[in-house]
Amino acid sequence: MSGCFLDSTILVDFAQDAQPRTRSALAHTKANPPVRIAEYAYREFLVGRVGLLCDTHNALVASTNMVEVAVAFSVRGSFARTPRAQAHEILKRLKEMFDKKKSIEPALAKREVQEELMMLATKMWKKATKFPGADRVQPLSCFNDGRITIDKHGLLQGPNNSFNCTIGVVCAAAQYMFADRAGLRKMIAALDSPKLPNHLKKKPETNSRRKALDLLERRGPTTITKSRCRQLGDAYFAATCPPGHHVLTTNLEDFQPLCVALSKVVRVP
Amino acid sequence: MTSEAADPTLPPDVPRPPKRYVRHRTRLVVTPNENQLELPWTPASEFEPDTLEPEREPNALEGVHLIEEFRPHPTAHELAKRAYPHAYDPEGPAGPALKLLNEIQELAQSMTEAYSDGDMVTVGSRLAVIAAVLGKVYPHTAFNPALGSAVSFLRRATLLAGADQCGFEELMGLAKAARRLAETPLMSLDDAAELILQLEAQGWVGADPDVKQFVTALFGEEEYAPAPDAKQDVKGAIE
Repeated sequence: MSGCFLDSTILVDFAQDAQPRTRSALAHTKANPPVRIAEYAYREFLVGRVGLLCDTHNALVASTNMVEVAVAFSVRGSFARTPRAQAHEILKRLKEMFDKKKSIEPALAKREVQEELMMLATKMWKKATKFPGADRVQPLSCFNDGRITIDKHGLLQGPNNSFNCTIGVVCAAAQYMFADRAGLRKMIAALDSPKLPNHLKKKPETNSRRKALDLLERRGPTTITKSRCRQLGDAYFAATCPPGHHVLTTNLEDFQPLCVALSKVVRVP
Repeated sequence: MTSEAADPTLPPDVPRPPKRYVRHRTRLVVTPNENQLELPWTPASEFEPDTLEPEREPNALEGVHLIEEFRPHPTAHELAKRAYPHAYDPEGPAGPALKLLNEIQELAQSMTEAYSDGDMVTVGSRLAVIAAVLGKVYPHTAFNPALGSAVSFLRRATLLAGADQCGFEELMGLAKAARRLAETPLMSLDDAAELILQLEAQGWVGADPDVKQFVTALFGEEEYAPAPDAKQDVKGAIE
């Protein structure tokens, strides 16, 4: 029996109470103690979903009509990679939501939606820190940890007024990974391998991850920017999974080649 | 030579102590009645002999007037009132919300009492009244969005909950939440989120179904649903 090293997908599911995946994950971690969560998982969650919700809230606060909301969404970094069909769906849902609320209480419709988004982001962030029986490990010196707050303009601000890493600090996640350069080379080789399934080869994430790993291996952690740090993603969990633990994820497909290259175990709850 | 006469109760070699001094004690006292913790602002005369503090050894100061004054720890509510008096001013911007929140607190209290008496009809009607009053509070909570979102959650939760679905623990949780809203209208976002998480853990369902659907689209997910053991889906109940 080995302990669990959770990746960010498990943390996200737990924070959002996504069933039945959360139930399975909790049962798995209960049966396989100890449970460890790397600070990198919290960092990914804060930059990703929590940041997206807060960005949405702030865009709604700043906008006065649906056109402005659409423009605000399209220019923001969080939405930049959103597929067109999904962007349509988002705006459609938003319009429906406002229309329904406006028909009941027009004056308060916008405020109620904003407050609900604000609370959802805060709840998710708080809940993520309460995974039962889990220890937080591998602290990151560049990570802005703390609370989400409302500023004087009613906008949501991340810890230390940022959802991203501290400016001017070398990427701590890259430093953890760079400690095992042989491991880095193995992961690069695994992503370059002709044995890699075709659908993984074509995935943009696989290519960007391979490039980020290659850059880290050749030039060291100082070359890893915030966006490169996000590209490392699954490779971080595979590389830093402590001895006697297995990586627990819902994304087995992406982890499999990396963990096999490092002779580590990856499991799905 | 001093004008005061020597105190005959003191040994001659001890320097004269001040006539009176005050010692502030801020401890809790265990009363013999079922080990109940009694708050320290009970008048000193009502205290039984203190069982937590060992008896003092007689010393040279024996016989000097020792006045022990009890100064209770101020509660968070009292501290907040001192720091932000405007937020608790009945004539201020938060006045209307505070008045209604106090009313809700009383309603929630009477609801738990009705449950204790087995009067489920009253419990059901109180839930509906609380939801209605929370609806009236909401427009007055613009001064603190965190309070507003907690009020919205409670309104939806009480509106959709049936009396037969609520146990004593749930109702007690609701009464406690109502008290916290009334006592801390300036609650932080973090505190409001904690309050809602606690209510959700007790089984209250008050998430906005429309926002939930919007967030599902935003995250590009197929599912974003509460636990299946939650009491009921808010949207389903509305429809």
